[in-house]
Amino acid sequence: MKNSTVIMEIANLHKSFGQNHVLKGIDLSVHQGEVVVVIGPSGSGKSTLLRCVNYLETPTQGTIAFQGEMIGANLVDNKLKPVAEKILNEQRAKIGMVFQQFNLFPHLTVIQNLLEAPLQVKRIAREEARALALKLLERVGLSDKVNAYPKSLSGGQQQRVAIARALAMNPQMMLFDEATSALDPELVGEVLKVMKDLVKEGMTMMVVTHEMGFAREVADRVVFMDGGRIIEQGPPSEIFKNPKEARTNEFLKVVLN
Amino acid sequence: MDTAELNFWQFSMQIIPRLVVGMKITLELTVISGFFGLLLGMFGALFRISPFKPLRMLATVYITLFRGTPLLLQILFIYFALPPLLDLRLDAFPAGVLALSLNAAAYFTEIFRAGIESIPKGQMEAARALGISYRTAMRRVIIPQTYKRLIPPIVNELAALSKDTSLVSVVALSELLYVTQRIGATYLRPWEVYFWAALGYLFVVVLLTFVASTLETRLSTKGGH
Repeated sequence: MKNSTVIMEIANLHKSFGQNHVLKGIDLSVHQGEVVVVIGPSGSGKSTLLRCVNYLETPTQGTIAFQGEMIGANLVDNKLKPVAEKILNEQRAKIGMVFQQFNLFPHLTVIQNLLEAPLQVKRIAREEARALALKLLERVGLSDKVNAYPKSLSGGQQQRVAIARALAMNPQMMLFDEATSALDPELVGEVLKVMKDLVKEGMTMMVVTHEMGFAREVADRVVFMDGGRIIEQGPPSEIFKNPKEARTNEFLKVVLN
Repeated sequence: MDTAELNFWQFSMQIIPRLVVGMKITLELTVISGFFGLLLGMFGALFRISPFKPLRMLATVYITLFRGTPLLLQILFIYFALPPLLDLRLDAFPAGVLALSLNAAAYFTEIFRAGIESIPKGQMEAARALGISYRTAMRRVIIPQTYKRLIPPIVNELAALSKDTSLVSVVALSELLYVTQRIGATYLRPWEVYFWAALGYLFVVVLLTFVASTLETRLSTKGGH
């Protein structure tokens, strides 16, 4: 653990979609600067967990606190009451998210994609926002694509733009929801490299991925989920070499071969 | 003068100026009702997809009402039934504009809603995850992406609207069809009169289609999607 300050605390998180109980009580804390990689079979609830963290899904029960502040809802008389949209927007702005499908805004150029949120939400000066955006594009190796439209970029380039777009809001933490799963195999590396650079810079990250190599290499902690529960967690060396739970072992046997 | 002795061109030259006056009213009806229909339809669509249930219901009731009854009846209702009902007496032109706008708005609502819903969910999620509010995301991210794909169905509806204006003749507004019928009845030479009236409507629709295709090319060369 890099730093003992807890930045995010998930407590007893449940999520149901109708009769489908997807998350069955998740407790998880993430420390400042920590890289938590969530692995598990599809349908285990790992993406839902990530989407609950910035309230793209509303939890059925349980709480998420970020830097000591509860996200999306307040406890009033032991019941969750949604916060005002404006407050939720401010909370979301502190947590960057990268999606499997990139979700770049297709009607805007690369730089406009990066400027949209800083100008509309933070209302910082255009010149300042532009300078930051150019710096971020340089960081993800796309200085030559500033005025390109997303359609003209490869999947790997689009995902790097998406990462830069999230970073443009200066987030305190980044969420990656299977960020490389939609990419052609030869493009995975360039996105993983950008993610690794972020780790080196000390970004707090929660990463849902099927890239076991990435988990092994950069995770501070690997969390294995199955059936809506956390089955086991620990440093990658432990999880990958000596998993304690039979289910973890089975899963790893399948994905590592 | 005995018009029965005039040949086709001579007679046409005599009636066309009067038909053009009617066509001007038809164009006015189309443009004004089209404008208000589009405006109302935009709000209708936002109501229709609103997270707030009463707004959704309001929009649904509105659409059901105006799509579920004949436009001709709506025109007659506004012209003849509003005066005793609300003590509101409208002239033929404003009554026609009101009926056409309200009717077109119901169809535009559905066109805009379909356009908004055709944008992948991930677009709204990406915007919200960045901290952008629902309203700003709609205005700056979702709606701009619908423009290009909305043009064909909007032109379709405007073309229908431009021809539906002929129904306002029922309350004696001298738009193109009303003028046509009167001239036809006066001179007992219906075929020339209806021929030129048909060309008049055709002209309006072709003009509209031309403007739309220019707009569409302009939007697609702008880049992006």
